[in-house]
Amino acid sequence: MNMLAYLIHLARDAPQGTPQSVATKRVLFAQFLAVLCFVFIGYRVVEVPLTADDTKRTYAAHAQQVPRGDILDRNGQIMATTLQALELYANPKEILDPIEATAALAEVLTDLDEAQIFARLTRKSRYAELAWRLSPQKYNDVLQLGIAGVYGRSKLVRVYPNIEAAAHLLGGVNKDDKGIAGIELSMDERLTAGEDVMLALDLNIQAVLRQEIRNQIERFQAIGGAGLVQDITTGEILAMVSLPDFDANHLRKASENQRFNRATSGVYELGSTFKIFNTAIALESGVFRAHDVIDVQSPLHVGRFSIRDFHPEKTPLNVAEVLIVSSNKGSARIADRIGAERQQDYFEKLGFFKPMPLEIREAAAPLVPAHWGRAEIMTMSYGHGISITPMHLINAMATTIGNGTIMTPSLIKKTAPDADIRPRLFSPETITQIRAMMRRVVSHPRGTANFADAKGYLVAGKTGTSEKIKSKGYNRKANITSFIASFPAHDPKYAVFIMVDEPKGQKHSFNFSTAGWVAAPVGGRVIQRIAPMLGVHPVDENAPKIRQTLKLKLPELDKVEPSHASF
Amino acid sequence: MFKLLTHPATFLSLVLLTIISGISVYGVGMQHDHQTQKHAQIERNIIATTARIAILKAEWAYLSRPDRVQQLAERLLELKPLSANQIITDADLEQRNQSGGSALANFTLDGGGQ
Repeated sequence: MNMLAYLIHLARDAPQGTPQSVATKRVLFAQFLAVLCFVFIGYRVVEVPLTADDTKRTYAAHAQQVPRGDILDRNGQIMATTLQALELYANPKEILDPIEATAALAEVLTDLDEAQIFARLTRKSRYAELAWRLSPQKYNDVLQLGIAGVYGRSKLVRVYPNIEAAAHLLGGVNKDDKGIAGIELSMDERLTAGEDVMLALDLNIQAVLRQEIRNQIERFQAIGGAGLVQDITTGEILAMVSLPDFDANHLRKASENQRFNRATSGVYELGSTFKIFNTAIALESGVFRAHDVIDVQSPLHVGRFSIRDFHPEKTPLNVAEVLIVSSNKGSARIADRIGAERQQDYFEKLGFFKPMPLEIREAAAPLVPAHWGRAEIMTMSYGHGISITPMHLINAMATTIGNGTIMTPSLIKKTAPDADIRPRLFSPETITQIRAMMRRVVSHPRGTANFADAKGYLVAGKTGTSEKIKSKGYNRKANITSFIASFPAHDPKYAVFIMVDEPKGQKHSFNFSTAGWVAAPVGGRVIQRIAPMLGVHPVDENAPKIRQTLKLKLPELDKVEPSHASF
Repeated sequence: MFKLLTHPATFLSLVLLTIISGISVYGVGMQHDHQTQKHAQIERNIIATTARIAILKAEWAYLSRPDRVQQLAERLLELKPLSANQIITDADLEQRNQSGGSALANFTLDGGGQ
């Protein structure tokens, strides 16, 4: 008989047999039930703690979201990070004695004076901010005061420890920790996921570039400036300066002018620096050779324009000299022979028709003429009638003096060499000649960038001075002076761009406010300081090997009179 | 089978077992709670320490920013930016060993060094 049937029998059927046996059965039945109960209790005793629902426990760790990733420079120095900070606020309705509370708080909150604190504590609202970012130490001090109605809450704040350095590039975040400008905006997804972003920028080079441009702005009472340093083998941007700048920790307090990134958002007529491209196009397309002679004496009229030189020439110049002494007329005549189609083709490949493909959204489109007539062709040869950003210029220059393949700038550090093969624009022969000519712009007595020389680092460069565009025509009193350079000339590794906006002629510059006096010296000083940081060794220019590399077969170049023609 | 189940000894041992397992499971449970709390505490400490490290890192970045280091180096160490004639190469040193003279004497560059 099985157990269940027996139990049912015990429960239902009338007791049988002797009263004694009935009693025994009942006791046994009760005993059995008790055993069952204990088995069940024993089971639950084990089961309950083991299967307890742990998911409802919340630890601080789980409640927290992933903090925003850091932005680092190429050496891993922190440029932007997220910190836990304490916000201190008061509920004025709960403050019992505002006068006493003010006195106590003023001791700790040194950023605010007593009147400010009092005003906040007596505000007619339930919330008055006392401090936005408080260190845990100070927060503790406030707690020690024991003022009822003063509260703190922890929150995450974005901090930029380098203050103004590359503030334009970094951009900023809003109160919800969302990127609103610069890398913070363009890399928002990665940063939000807690990933760090490593920039191509080098903070040490950035500091040098900023300091030197700033000093020159002061010396020449200029209104602003910009600067770039690019590694021309990789395209990485090692420094980017736009002045005036701002404290990245207080983006909202910065004016429109301060926030404007002149290096990537500003479009300018960059003047004679364009002659580099004009010459390179002429040599590459075979229209001219370096020693071909150009007429720079007879007047040059095109339409209603008349093209003049800053220093009128008494003798004809060859193509190399046109670049070295920076002749507008010579360049215009060269461009005239190059023609619209070729010029357009090269300009397009150099990237002058489109915004630069950058990792930030602050990248302006160039201004190019709608009609590509003869006058436009000629004026564009010396950088007038076409407005581009400094980023366009330095990148085009990297293409022209580097290895001749089309360069793309990168604001993010490259971890591996590019997979794509860059299309070639200039042949090694053209590049060698351009390097030699640009070296002479700096080293030759008649070159326009003598002040840019940095002994041992063989600076090759070109100055550019242009008058600023007014609503109608040009403003003769307001110059944009720029200098584009590369070093070392025999094997260029880096490009440097300097721009100083509206410098005023000074006594120490004999009243000149042209690029040769303003922008070029900055370039030289910057290169002298950054070359050791970049591991570029000084060389002896007279060493036979280097002389051979930078040779120009143009003996007449050594006979010209020294002058500081600066265009 | 039934006899064994209803035997008083079975009953007593079951009661005993229940009590023992109850006590031990209670102990394990308490230990678990304790460990969980400890774990949470450690996790909070990690978060606090991470936050402190982040603050220290940011402070380090702030204090070691290049323009500040330059100012300090200029003021306290009287250092100046490196000029080209202060840099010599291995080849220059070799030359010096051969000629027994100064490597710098043969260096043709001039500049604004000290």
